[in-house]
Amino acid sequence: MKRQYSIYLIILIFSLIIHLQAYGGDETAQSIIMRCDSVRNPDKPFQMNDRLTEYKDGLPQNEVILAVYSKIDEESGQFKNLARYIEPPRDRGKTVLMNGTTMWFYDPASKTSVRLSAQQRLLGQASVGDVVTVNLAKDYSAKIVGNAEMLNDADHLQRKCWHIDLSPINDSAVYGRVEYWVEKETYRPVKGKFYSDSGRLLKIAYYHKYVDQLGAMRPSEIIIIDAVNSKLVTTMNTYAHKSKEIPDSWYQRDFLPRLNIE
Amino acid sequence: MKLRTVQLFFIVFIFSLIVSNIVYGQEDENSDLLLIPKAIEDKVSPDKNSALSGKAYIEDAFTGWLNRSTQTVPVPIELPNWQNRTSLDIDYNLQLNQWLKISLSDRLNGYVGNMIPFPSNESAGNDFREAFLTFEPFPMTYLEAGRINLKNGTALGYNPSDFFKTQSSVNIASIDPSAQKENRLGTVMIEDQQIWDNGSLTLAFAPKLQNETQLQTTSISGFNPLFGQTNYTNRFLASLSYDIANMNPKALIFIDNIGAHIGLSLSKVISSSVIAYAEWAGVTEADITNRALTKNTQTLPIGTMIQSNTSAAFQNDLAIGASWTSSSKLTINLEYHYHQSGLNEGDFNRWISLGSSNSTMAEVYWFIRQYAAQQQEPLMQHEFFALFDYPDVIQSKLNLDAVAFISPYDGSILAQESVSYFISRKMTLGVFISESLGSLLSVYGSLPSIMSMALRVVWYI
Repeated sequence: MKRQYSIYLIILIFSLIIHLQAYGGDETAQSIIMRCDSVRNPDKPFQMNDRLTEYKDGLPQNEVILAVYSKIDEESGQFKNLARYIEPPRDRGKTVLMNGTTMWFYDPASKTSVRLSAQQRLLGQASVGDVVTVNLAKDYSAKIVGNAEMLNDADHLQRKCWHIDLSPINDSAVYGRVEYWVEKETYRPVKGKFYSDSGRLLKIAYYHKYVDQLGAMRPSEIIIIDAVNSKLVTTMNTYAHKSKEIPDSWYQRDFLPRLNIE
Repeated sequence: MKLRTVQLFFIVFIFSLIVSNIVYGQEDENSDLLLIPKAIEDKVSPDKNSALSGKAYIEDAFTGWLNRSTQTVPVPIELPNWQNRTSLDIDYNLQLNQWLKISLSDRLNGYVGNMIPFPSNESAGNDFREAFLTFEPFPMTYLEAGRINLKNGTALGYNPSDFFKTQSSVNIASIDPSAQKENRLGTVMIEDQQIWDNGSLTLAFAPKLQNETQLQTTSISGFNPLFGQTNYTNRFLASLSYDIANMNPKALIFIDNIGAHIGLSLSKVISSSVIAYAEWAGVTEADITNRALTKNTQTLPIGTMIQSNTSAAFQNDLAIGASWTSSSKLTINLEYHYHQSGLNEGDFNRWISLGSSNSTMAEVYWFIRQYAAQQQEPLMQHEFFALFDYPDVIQSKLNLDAVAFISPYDGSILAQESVSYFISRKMTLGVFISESLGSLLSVYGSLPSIMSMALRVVWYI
């Protein structure tokens, strides 16, 4: 009887250890997200182009091209971003500034700037928060919920991933909750699921086509699936990356009319 | 007994492990891959960049009006029933070298309509909006000279601190203030702007180039650049913005033939979906009636004796509002406008009474309304403004918008609803329906047009 009790106890302790190992490990969730951020984002100021193609029922419907200028804010550690429309013709020259919770939209037709809330999305299925460069570790608290999940990437190749749950910790966070799958060893993001404040699944993203951009292998394509209407899919292709010295004075309302595309 | 408890605990623990694995790990995440279209997998990555510094388009706008058969105060001119405008619109800038940039914004118009003889000198016109040179001798220091649209203000329906707005509007079909901002004339000026990390300083001087032209009673100005409207007196503006407490305040001083105007605007993020903003300006000036009557004394009926407050006093102008955006992208702006020098309820009723009893007074009444519109200031002391913006009602195809000016005195409304349909990347179709609602004695119900409808096609070149 006593022996049976001891066996149960050993199994129990062993299971507990396995369980804790599975969801914890040596790496903390926050450090995984930080390393994942550094895979997605260069650590120096840069400019790039971003082509968004919207698909409906599998067919391309609309295309937007943006020039994006990104730089880390030394105080917050988060990126400051300027995004100017290059295409389509009707939107050419419109510019969005995103600096923490400060967002402005400049329209060259009216030559005025309007202050935006984080909720105001301007790019169809992709939000401003998707297009611009964001360090998730600065806006979200991370928790590992799966330590060795096998997940297929957009090329249907199996990846061994951390499954991480992200909760917002400040007003800059665009989403109410994020689930993120990060490939072990490479720290490359494989997949993300983005939720509203009310917990509704808004979109699913696959990080795809890793190429050398500014000295590291980074995803050059993000495939965004609308979770509400899955017939709507948007791809974001980033290209023409260049390191660039960007003055802090660019990231304010009064500079928006002055931005020249180079 | 003790053993059974341990057994039970063990079973519960194993069960919880299974459940947690189902929740966190075993869901078939790979099924989402089936949602990716085949076209994406076959797509070739882009490798080109097309950076253009401006746009040009051809626009055709057909407008029809349904006018009131009876009016309490009749309009002294014949009103059009329909008009068609075809325009070539260009807005380009060219970087000449590291320091110099040249900018041009212009619109060439052709008109036909039941009130416009064809061909005649009213059949064509040009809106010369902007042409200026920008010199950047040092980084973030800009010197500019030419005709420039210098705009200020954070509100959408009325901008008290947008001091160069007066007499700058040109003929457009829309009552939407943003459309009026798009098409207004610039002012010939020299401007210096310094931009720092958290703020900027702007100095501008607009010289007098012509004597003040008479207030336009027709909307078509031909090929006249209208310097007599935009540069009729020497004007000076200094504005300073510096971000404090994330409120982006901007302070302004503007000096013209009326006196020294002061202005202030600021905005604040309230939550992830709400923005609040306010804009104020003040100057010592006469009320709107007196300013209108002293403006164009030659064109006013001889012998007009109007009792108005001719003494100047400090007058406040305020626009305060907030925007709210839903999770479905609908944005609603609500604003309150206070225009101290505007008409109060007693003034307005007196004018309605005078205008309805005497054709000369009717002419004066409409002249004051025309003056307020030209100055881009409210006629009345108090008004509400609402804007609804619903983009992507059909993803990347259809936008819906509506604006409304609401009179708190009588509940009358001047509203416009618009639909924009993006036929292709280069072509947009728009429908605008405007209406004035209220009794014939009300602020907006007394307007001559019950409703109008404009059909607009834009083709980007």
